[in-house]
Amino acid sequence: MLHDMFKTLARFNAWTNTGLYESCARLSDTEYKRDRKAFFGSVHNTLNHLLVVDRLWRGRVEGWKAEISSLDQILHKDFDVLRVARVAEDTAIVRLVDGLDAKRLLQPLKYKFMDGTPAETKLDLVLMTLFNHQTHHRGQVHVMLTQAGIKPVAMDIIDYENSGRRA
Amino acid sequence: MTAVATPDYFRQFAAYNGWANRRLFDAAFRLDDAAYRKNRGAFFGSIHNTLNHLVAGDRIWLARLAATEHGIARLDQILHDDPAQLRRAREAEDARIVEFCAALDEARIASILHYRTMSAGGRPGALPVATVLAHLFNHQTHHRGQVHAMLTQELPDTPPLDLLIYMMETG
Repeated sequence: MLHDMFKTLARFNAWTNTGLYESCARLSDTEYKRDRKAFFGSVHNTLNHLLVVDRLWRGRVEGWKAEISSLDQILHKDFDVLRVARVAEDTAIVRLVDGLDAKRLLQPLKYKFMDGTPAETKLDLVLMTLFNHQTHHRGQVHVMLTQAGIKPVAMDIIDYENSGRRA
Repeated sequence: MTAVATPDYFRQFAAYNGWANRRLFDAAFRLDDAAYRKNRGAFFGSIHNTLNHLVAGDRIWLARLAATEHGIARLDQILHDDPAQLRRAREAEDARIVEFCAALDEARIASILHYRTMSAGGRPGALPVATVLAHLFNHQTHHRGQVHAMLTQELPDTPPLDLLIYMMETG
């Protein structure tokens, strides 16, 4: 049951990022990079941050080291390149979640924070964090889009369910 | 082992939800009244309106789950114009969410909730309770993200709301 829910959340994540990026594509480059004083400043920085954190977590779960030096790292200066990377990451997240052994969800994941401090968190909470973090920053981008005069597409879980793009 | 996994997941989210809302309201209450009510071009305009929407949204879903009437006419309804009353309403909803999740079992989570939508003249809807709860918590986080962005635009040192921070704080 919990595994089914994470499979839905992974697909919702991919679907809602598609919609968000469609809305962001309507921004001029200036507006896309304008510092609107969100936690990471701009839409550009916030979208990059999301990809950074997803790669960090996916690396920790899958056992590889993401080449990330800071949480505000800019992985891709160009929006179109970032967009391609986003789709690839979201596909990889679906694959990761689908491939999980349901028992593993309740087991602790051992990993290290960026400063090297060791940590341990149950895998279901890791996934909860990953998906919640996405939604939080998408909310920030949503505000920046409406402030720039763009009406973003609908992007909540009810909309996803009604779109027919189910898990 | 899996028997209690999913209710526990929602109970944890309910606890995080209360913590995040307390943090957010603490930050929002640092603003003067004009800044708190200023239309900042968010979907619901201001911090005040967005926080009202969140209480409205939760009240609607909790009423549907309890098969009671919520009495709310629109999703942008201002339930409480006074911020202190709004905060009390927020705390009451968060307590109700915790209570609801505490009583959950696997059967309830898997059951289908039948309800009527707010829009389009009240069409019938049906969703698993698990999906309703996932939406409820996700919707909270989404609008908190909006409020957070509006807060950092005024107060750059607004504290983060990361679930990871909550987990570290509460062990």
